[in-house]
Amino acid sequence: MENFQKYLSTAPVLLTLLLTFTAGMIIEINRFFPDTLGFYF
Amino acid sequence: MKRFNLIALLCLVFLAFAPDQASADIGGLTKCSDSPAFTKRLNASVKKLEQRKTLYEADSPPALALDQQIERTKARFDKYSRSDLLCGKDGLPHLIADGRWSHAAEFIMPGFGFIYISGWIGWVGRKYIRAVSTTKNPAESEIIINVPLALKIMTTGYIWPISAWQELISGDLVAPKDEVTVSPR
Repeated sequence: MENFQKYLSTAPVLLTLLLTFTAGMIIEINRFFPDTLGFYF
Repeated sequence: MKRFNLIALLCLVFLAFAPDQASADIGGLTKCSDSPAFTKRLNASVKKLEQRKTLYEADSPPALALDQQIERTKARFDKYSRSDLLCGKDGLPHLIADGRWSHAAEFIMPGFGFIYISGWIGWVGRKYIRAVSTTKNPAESEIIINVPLALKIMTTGYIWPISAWQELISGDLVAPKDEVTVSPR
């Protein structure tokens, strides 16, 4: 378990997780607030 | 320092005397809700989609998908016409990026948000590198991330402009001149 935790903490794995999360977040923001051309709501 | 003050003063004078017009007519643009070309573009877009819809049976999946696309198109045009966006002769919204406050939502606010978020990312990265540099094995902590420490730094980084200012005042932000290497000359 400890080794697996260490593997998850390596920079490439963390970077993959972080970028997956960020990409998903941006996709969801664009789903709920589409066609944004500035801070108009 | 004196020179900097002079530049700052000049900027202030320009800011104070800058003409601040309302939303009307910047560079020949009109409000999207008043623009005939904008309305024409809406009607043309919807008509095109409706024509495509006639190629499919009613209530078939492609027809339903086109229905949804028509709704989204109408919602988009409605949203743009309710905002302060200005449209050109092409009927498309044009963003005003010259810094006037009446159109701050189009460029100043998103630009500020970009600088704030990229500053946050850069600041916490620097802070993490500096934090692990005092530990036993700094190089390893840059490859195998100390996740609890990194998360703590990331979540407290939102006040980075204040932290950066404090470090600049205390002389911790930049290295002294004699510590910066230069090429032989």
